Amino acid sequence: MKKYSLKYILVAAAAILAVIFPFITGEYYRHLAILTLMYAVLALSWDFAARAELVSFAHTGFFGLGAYTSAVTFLKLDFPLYLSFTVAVLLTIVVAIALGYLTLRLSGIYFAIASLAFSEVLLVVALQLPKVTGGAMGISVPSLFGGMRVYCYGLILGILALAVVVSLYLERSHFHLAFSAMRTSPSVASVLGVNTVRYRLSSFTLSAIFSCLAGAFYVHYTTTTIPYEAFNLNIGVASMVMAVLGGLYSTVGPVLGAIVLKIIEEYMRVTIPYGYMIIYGLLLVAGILFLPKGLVGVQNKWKFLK
Amino acid sequence: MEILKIENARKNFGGVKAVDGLSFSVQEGEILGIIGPNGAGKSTVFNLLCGLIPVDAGRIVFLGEDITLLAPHKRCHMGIGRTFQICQPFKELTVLGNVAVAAVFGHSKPVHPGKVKKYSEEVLAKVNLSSKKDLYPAQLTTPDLKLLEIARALATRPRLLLLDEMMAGLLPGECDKILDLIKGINREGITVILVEHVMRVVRELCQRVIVMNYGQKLCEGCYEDVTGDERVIEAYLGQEETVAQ
Repeated sequence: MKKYSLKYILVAAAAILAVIFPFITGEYYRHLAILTLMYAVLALSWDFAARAELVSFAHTGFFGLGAYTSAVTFLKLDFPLYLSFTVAVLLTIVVAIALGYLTLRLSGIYFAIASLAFSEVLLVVALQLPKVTGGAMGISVPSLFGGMRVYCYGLILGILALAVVVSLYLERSHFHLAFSAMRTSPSVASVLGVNTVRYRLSSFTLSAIFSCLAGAFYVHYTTTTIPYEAFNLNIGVASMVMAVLGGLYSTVGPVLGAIVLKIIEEYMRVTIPYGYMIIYGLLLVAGILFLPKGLVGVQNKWKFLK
Repeated sequence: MEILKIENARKNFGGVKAVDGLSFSVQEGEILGIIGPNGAGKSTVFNLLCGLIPVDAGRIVFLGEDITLLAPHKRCHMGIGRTFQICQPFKELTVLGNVAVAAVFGHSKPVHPGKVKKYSEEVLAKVNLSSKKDLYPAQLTTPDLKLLEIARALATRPRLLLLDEMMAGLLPGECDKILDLIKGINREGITVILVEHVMRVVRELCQRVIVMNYGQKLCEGCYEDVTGDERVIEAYLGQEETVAQ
């Protein structure tokens, strides 16, 4: 009982801090917080797919798809913001289900390669359709909420809150049983009645939706993007690293991973003028080696020692 | 009533005819044994029946419906349950969680979400695993893992249960417990097909036995008839002493 109340206090404190953060800090920290929350959404979305044993690089693709669909519909079709987001999500759902069906037979590293190819294909498409996407020159949109960072913060916090709610539902419902079973053996799960196709597709699609939302937010927030940035594989890799380092198959893990890594990265970028990425990389290696279950696992380790 | 019929089923793995024109049927309520040497195609038959691998040719009819092309989870919903020769528990879930998977997903009319825990506990009580419900599979002994396999299959509320070498790796005393369990399951009206190498179990349980060799049905009949058949002795049983015990 005591343990639970501590947990709730921590969660409540984090939630309150998240809400008041933009009001007690300056523009720089607001900007940093916005990007951190965006990566938290990405890391959590990457984890959704991981829960069904899908190691995906398609998230880069969905991020870029969200960014470009939203930007293009907003600019060329004069859609209001919410409608351009909606169209981006709908398109992502269609694409994710189609890609999911095409790759149903693939697992492990083969699925990873197929998802990587998907992201690269979308990059090429974005480059080769200059009339729609602006090609290599990129695309620019007016700044989100007239550049009011507090509102931008509110929007991305809202998206993250939605992702957290979805994640908690997945963790506490029959999805959790299906995913855990499928991670051990999809065929045994199917013999026991689990519709593995449905659960695989739904985890992949949910995951794609949140990557798409992060992308759509990103382009409006930064006001401009180019294909090499929106479809940059680093986005997918970073979300994977944050999820793995924070702790897979959990809600707290990916969010915590995103926050911790983003803070470390930014701190190093500012304090170490040259080659900060090398130290950052070494830290990641150490993290994977010593915290195989991620930051969330640390807490369990202590429990075990006691 | 005929619950299952398999007609002229074929399955090749490359050049190997794992199942080669096999036909048989199962009556509701009976216990059918399938025996035969290693590599005869017994486990492949189970995989064809539960849908894990598709037949190359032939038909499978369950409860009067053609299920040849049906996905494994749909066959499970219709009432085909199975265990695996090599125990395959879900290692991330507790014993109770393992059974809950089957309880939640295993039937076309799912157990009410609020009653899953109670239902799963009842199934575990049936196989005498209640005291271990909160353990993880890695903490279980082989006999308990076998019981968990049965519990999971039972939790899907099957009408036909396929048991793949339940006794392999068990001591005689442990065999007896599972033997009684299978008898009890059958008494509740669940039809059973079992693949087994322990002949004592086949003799005690099966009303009818099919002997397979090279993917084909070598012969079929009651235990005494098939074990007395010269072809069976030659292909599988070997010396007569084995039969006599």
